[in-house]
Amino acid sequence: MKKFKKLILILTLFLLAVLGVFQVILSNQLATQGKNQKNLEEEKAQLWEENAFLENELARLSSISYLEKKATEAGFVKTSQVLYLTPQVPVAQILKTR
Amino acid sequence: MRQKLLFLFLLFFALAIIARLFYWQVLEREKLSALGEAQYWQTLEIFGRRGQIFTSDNSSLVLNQPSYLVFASLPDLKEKPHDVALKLAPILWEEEGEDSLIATHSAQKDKILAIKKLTSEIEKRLSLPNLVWVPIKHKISKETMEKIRSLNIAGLGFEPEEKRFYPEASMAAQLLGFVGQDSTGRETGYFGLEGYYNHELKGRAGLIQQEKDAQGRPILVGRQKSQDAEDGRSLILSLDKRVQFIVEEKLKKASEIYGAKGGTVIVMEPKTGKVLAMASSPAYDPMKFLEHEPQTYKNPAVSDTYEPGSVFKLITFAAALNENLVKPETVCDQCTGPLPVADYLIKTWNEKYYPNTTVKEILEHSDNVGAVFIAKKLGIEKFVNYVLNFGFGALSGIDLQEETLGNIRPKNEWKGIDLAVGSFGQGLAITPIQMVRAVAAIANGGELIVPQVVTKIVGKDKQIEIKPKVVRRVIKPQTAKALTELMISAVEKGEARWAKPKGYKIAGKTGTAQIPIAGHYDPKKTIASFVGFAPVDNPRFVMLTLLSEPTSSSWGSETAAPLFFDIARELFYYWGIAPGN
Repeated sequence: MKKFKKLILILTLFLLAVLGVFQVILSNQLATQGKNQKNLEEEKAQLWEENAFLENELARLSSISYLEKKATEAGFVKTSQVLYLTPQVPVAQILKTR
Repeated sequence: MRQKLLFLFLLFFALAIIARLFYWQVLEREKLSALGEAQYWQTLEIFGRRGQIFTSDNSSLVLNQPSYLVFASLPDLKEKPHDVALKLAPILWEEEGEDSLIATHSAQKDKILAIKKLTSEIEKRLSLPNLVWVPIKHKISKETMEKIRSLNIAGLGFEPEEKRFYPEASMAAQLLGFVGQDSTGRETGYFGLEGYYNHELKGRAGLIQQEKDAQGRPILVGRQKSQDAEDGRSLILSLDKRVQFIVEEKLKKASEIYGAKGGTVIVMEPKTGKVLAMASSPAYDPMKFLEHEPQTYKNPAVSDTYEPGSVFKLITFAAALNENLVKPETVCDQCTGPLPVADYLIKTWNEKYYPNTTVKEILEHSDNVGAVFIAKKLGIEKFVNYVLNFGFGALSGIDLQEETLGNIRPKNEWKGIDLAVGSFGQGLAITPIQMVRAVAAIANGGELIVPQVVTKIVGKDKQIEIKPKVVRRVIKPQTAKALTELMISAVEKGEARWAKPKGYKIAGKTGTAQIPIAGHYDPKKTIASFVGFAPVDNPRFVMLTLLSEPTSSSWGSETAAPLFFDIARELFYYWGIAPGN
């Protein structure tokens, strides 16, 4: 009976030790994973922010008012008159279609 | 007796308890359970990103820009509130977009005063009693955030936010609307598309609920509930960025040249109702809407009402031609001089009268007496029916928030004089979009369409296409064709023929409307307009130009018509439409 009690005590202590080690490993892993997740989330937010800045900059640089300003600076001027070239239909074709 | 009294007392007591329990458990159940939940649940609302807005070629009109909230954690603040405010105020003042290159002495003085005011505001906020967390300024830029961060002030922190960014600055401002805050501090779209499509653009807010302890701190092993936020959907418009740019540039120039108080231009596809451009002046900067007068927020193209004047003759002509009551060659036998109607005398705009004039010439001369002659043939019943059928007095259904109805009086209130003046666009109030829509029906062969600005709503996993809608047929195709010929002739031989681009066939009509004030018309002020479409054989656009109170000339033919032709000329170049069309 005494032996049995001793065995139970040893087993309990062993189990507690195993659980304790397991708890430490798990906590450690959880902390590391949590930190990794936080880092990844921060990185995601930063990438989104950079992406948004680049998108906005692209939109600003391709805006009509900006392009017009740049075109004027480069010496471009608006056309005052447009000449439309209409294709001359050969006489033979006119005769054929008639 | 005593037993009875005791019984009655106990009965009354029991009933009182039951009544109270009924009040708690049934009547006030929701309120009390919410109060109870609020004691142990902490709810955080997370918002999705607001949808963006693009033009027809997928160019960006409204985007989101990362920004920050600068806040103070008061227990962690080591410096005095006054010292912190002194450091923050100049940086935050510059963030307001004030010009840092201030040259004049008075402007320098203004700057110093403004910074002083801002300093005291920040100091006041940082000195608020019984508070732990105090927001200092929302939506500051990254540059400003970095400037503040470099000051290394303990107790200050930043939270990411977003704000609207407009790469085309104030382009189509009144069409877009803006994003402000509602009474609960939540972002909400106001006016234009931001207002109309607020539900689509804002997405769905998410929730994080977690149990909290008595001090309000979250319990790590407590229960948690969460619902992900959903980003808003984006809008693809029918708007053509280049057409919008041309229109805004020309409208601005015309308002200056003709000394107009304001103006509106709408360009629309007559067959589909797709709005290609819509501009009004004065406009505002949606990024700094608070610095502008609230009167400028509404889009005049859909919200302002005005008496249309002679452009409305088109409706009178359409009705009479459609009913076969007149033909282009019908001769007016009442056009010899001023026409008496009830106690009034109807005159022409220039007091010139043309005996034996034809219907075609009536439109060319914009003859008011001739218009009354045609309206009399129609009678009140038919005339009002056509006015209503053409969409006047009703919402056009355009997808913009602030559209108004205009004002067409009920049919039973119309009298002879109302019919007479109504035939040339007086005594009724319409909106610019209603006029464009009615003329689009003439341009497309007789069908009344619903104007639309958004063609697609694009979500993460869903795309909704908004197809053009035809409401009803208002005139026969042959009527539309005959009226188009009359409108071409009105342009070729009318008062504004000098401004028309050479070689193009344009159908149109000028209008000069008086402004009603307290029972009579203002003797000087007018609203000048021109409405038309081109190329007539296969109309690419229908356009209305409207100038409010022009001072250089009060006539539509000398102000709004040249603006119309000026824009039309640019559109012909842009779309490569050669003369002869």
